[in-house]
Amino acid sequence: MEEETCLDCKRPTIMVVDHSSGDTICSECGLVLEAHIIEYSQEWRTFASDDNHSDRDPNRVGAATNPFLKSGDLVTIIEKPKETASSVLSKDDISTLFRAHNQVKNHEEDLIKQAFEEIQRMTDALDLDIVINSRACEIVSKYDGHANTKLRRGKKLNAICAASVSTACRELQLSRTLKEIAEVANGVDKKDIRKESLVIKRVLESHQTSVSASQAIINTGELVRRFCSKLDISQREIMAIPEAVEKAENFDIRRNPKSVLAAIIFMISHISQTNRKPIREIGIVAEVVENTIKNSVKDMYPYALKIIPNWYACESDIIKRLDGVITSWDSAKFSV
Amino acid sequence: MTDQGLEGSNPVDLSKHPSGIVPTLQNIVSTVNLDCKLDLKAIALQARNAEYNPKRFAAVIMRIREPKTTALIFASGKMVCTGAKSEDFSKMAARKYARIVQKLGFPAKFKDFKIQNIVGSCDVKFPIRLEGLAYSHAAFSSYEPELFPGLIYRMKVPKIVLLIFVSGKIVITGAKMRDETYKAFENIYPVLSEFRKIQQ
Repeated sequence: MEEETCLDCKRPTIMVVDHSSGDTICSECGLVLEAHIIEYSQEWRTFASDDNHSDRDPNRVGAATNPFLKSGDLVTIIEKPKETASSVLSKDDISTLFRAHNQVKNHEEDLIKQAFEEIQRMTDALDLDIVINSRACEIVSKYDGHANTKLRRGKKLNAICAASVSTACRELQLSRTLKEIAEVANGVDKKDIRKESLVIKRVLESHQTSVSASQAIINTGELVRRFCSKLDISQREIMAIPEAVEKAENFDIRRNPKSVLAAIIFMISHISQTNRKPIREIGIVAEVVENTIKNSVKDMYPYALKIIPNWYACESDIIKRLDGVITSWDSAKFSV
Repeated sequence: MTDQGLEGSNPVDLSKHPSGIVPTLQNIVSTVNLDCKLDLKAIALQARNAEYNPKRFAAVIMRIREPKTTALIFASGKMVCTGAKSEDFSKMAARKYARIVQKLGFPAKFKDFKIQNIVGSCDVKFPIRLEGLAYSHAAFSSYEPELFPGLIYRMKVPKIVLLIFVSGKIVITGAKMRDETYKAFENIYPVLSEFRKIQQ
């Protein structure tokens, strides 16, 4: 409690300091005289005299800025000597100090920072959430801190970053296919991502982190929303497709789940009167070759009546339209 | 592929195979030590059924017709025998290879014969929901349909790896004794029944 002059009341009033937000508030009219008196930026402490700028000697205090790094990103950096430096130290002394510092510097964290940058680039390219980015960085940090696994320079670093992004996506039920991640991962193969994912899984288990079961596999349901939004499918079809995918799981369809999903999208969009999607577009989005979609549709045709919801289309429509398209494909095959 | 248990004259021993299905052994890998140094070039030149390409692989590859097997014979005297369909056939074949090496003039013995791996397969004859199985048994399962169509199941006891396909065909590998293969299949069969695809 203090007494100051309130700007609105135009007279001295009692001031209250709100400690939680750092505001100074007038107790009569509620005017905030001063907001956020707490300094949030990195704190620098200098004890040199002000009249001589060459004596400036900044030191950082405060909390770690990056919790994933062991040093907390609080390292000291000695810059290379500048040509026009007028400091008290000679140029030769600074050069010697710079070289000595390089020898004792912790280069291990250079790699982990490089990994963080790579993860940032990948998550940006895939339009992923910042939560996934943080989780992937955390996974890489644990990987580097484990006794048996270390980050090393080279192509494997990219594979580890891609695998951590993949693992983070699956944990948060926002899965991306291995192919999608491999495309943004600078030449890393799907198999390498899978291999590193298994290593990461072991590292997480040894940390006694609870590995969620959904990490094991991609759930086809997670792909439905993204594929449909990429294809600009109408809302009625978007409701029908997940239902059909769920029903299809009970039938003996021996196809890759992505192929099954692509075939279902094709069948449902083809049955609709408007807004039919060409099979080429579906293939691009679902990462499935056109011929595979055609063959999948043929495989699933015997079950189409049971898979496609009856509120979406009646029996005769399904038979008529799908039969027509399959016949046209067979005709095209014969004419080749 | 004939299913041994169901179509043979012998009835299935239900106390040992409660599922009624007996896995068929497909491949046996065994090793034996001939216990003498071998001149691989001489073996390759003298033996009719041998091939030797030291630039590609440092062993003589030898085949016999009965039992139909392939052997890798190394200069150190170690030999690997693959392709047999039962343990006895594997040992019989290994003895034949040892005899061939003896006839070429080397003092080959037959020490430390050991079955290293047994691969079995069978068909449960119903389709399986691999996604549900992988989700439910995440600690043991590895299912990545983008890379391999089967589910890789690493059983702990016995320590066996099973490949489970949506068609219901199962591959059982990593056993060193026949009973391990049978035990692994009996362990997994109730799980497969639980995740059987229900055709409505």
